[in-house]
Amino acid sequence: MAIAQFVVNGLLVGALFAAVAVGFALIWGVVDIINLAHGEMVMLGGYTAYWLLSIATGTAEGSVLLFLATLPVVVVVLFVVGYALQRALVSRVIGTDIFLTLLVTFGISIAIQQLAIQAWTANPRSIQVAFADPSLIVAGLVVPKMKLVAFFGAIILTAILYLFLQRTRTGRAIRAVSQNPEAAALVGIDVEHTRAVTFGISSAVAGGAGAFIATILNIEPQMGLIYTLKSFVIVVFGGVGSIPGALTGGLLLGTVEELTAGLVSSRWTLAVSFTLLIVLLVVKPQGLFGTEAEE
Amino acid sequence: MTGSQNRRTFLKVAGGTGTLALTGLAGCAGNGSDGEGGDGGGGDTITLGGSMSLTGDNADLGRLYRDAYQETIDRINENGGVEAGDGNTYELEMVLRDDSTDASTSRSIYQELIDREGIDYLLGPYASSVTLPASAVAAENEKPMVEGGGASPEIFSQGNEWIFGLLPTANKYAKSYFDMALEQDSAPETVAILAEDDTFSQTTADGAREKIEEEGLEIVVDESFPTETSDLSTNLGRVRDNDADILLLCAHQQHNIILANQMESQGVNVDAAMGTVGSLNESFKGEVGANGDYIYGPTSWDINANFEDPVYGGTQDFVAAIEEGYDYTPDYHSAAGEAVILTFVNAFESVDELGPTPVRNAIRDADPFSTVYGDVSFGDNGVIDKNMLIRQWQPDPGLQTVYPSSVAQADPLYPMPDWSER
Repeated sequence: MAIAQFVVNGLLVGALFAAVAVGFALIWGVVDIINLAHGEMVMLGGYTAYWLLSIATGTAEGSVLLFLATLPVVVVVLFVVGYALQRALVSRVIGTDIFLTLLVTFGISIAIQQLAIQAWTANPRSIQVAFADPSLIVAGLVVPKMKLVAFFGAIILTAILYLFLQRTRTGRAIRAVSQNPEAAALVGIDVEHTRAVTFGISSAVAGGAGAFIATILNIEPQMGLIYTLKSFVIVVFGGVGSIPGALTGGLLLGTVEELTAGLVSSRWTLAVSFTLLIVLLVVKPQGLFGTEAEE
Repeated sequence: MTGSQNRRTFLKVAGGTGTLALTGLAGCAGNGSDGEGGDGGGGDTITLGGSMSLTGDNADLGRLYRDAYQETIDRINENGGVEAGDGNTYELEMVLRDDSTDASTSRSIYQELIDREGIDYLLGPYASSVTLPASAVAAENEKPMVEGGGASPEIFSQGNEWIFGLLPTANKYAKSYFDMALEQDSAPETVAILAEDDTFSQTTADGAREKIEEEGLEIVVDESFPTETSDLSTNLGRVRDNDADILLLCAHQQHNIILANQMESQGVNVDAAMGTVGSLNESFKGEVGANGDYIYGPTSWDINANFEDPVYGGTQDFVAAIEEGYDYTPDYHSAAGEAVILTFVNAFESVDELGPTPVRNAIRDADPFSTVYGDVSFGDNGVIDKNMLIRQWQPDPGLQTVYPSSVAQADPLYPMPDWSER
């Protein structure tokens, strides 16, 4: 029973990890950049939802519907932030040395963190979503309702992104740029615009996940790094540029972390996660969904 | 005035007390002190000197100490000064220089105060990182230092016999919580500890474990988690499944917020829960709302307490004096600052002869004496022998001091109601 509870806890939080990581995987796959500022998009999404709810209710507390109503705004705001960052800064280092791209995105992450501290202080914050009864008990397993909402929210965000890439003209353009930017340009695709849209979309999805994180955990200006690190692990699990891979990797990472915390100790979660990362890099370097990664 | 006492003072002392005083002078000379050097040309004065964070990031906190020091010294002088144990009455004087919370600057200041100003009695700086090296200067020069700005156990684990600290160290943070719980009708038998894996929180947890063992309680959950942990669900599930009576979270504010919210969602019903750092802040309650009700936290001082004080009368008079004179409300830094001065005054009044060594011994051996900060006396390691006060968020009227009963504003709401009953 205890192990089942750990698995449930892991899957619930793992879906959020996955929603954060799909954007990271997308940028890595399409723009060919490891975006070290990706975690800051999660943070900005959380704060956007927090402040929207604060303006609406005065206390950052509200019903689940009111919270969900903030999500479209969060997604739009973070899309604009991501698009602008790519156009203004990241586009200038695409195709250059990988260390330069890492430095630029690292610099962006530090700048956003510091601006957030100045604007909102370092105090951790959280969104309170009211439920008459906060948890469901299913077959003896405790399932917090808001975590369940966040789980489905994260899955839906990931699914929408997947369908967008598969079914829309812009999605096909993104995939084309991912596979061969020169050929994409030859057939009339605006590669720079498409890359910026990709950056915007991945930021928007990360921001949406950040909003859910604000309801079940908490948010603070320096929270981004750990989500960037987790995204890195998940993408290596799942394969670069693969959305199903990122989803599977996120659920896997969440489950592994909670099983480690439950059966061993919370102190070992990061050690176990990164050991798995190393093992996977040695055994199956293309990730679990290697075929798509090769694309 | 440049010396901690001028030469005229000691000539008077020597003439007035004959052989005993002369022996005392010889003793002072023998230990290398030059505290009596310098002809200030004024009355009988004892100078206290130190460095403080008067500019930089901690300037706001440094100001609290400076103002409390100065206000207390002014009042003592207005009331006639210090009637020392050597039979003389002295005015107090303070030399406080800015270290910008920089450890090397602070070290230089203390060395200069000792070497050039002949100061024998040192006021500690702010922050543990500055206090630790400053305390080494005090030890090297054999001058007593009393500080209210450093709480790291490391300061007091160096075998330094010249440093005295007024902030309880981390290992004492949780002890009063258990004392309070054990006084309740349905006293706890089992305890769960969740501890962040930083040094401060681990030291707090170590102190708690010692206390739990002393009291014969059983630890049913004892888990540490990394600072980066953002989800306590699994650990709280352990607390729930092991039926812990009370819960102690040794961690900072972000984890207190997670605790308050996830205790509800995980259905953790304990009789009491305390977070060691950040659980009493308004911002904590603002973030968790009603989920923060009934949660406890420790504090070294409570503005609502009323301890007797020989200078101000009581804590509330001190609060009024700071509010009136400096236009802000004092906090525990201010109260600790006042107690720093009274620690020296108490020692000056106790010794037969003034000098660093007798004053150091008098501080170390002092019986508890009352200040606006509470009763002050020191353990063998130089740390104040003071337990924390316990406060609790109550649904109405809010944050209340609930332990010890001598300063409590309300009884603790114990056991806390189950989540289903809220």
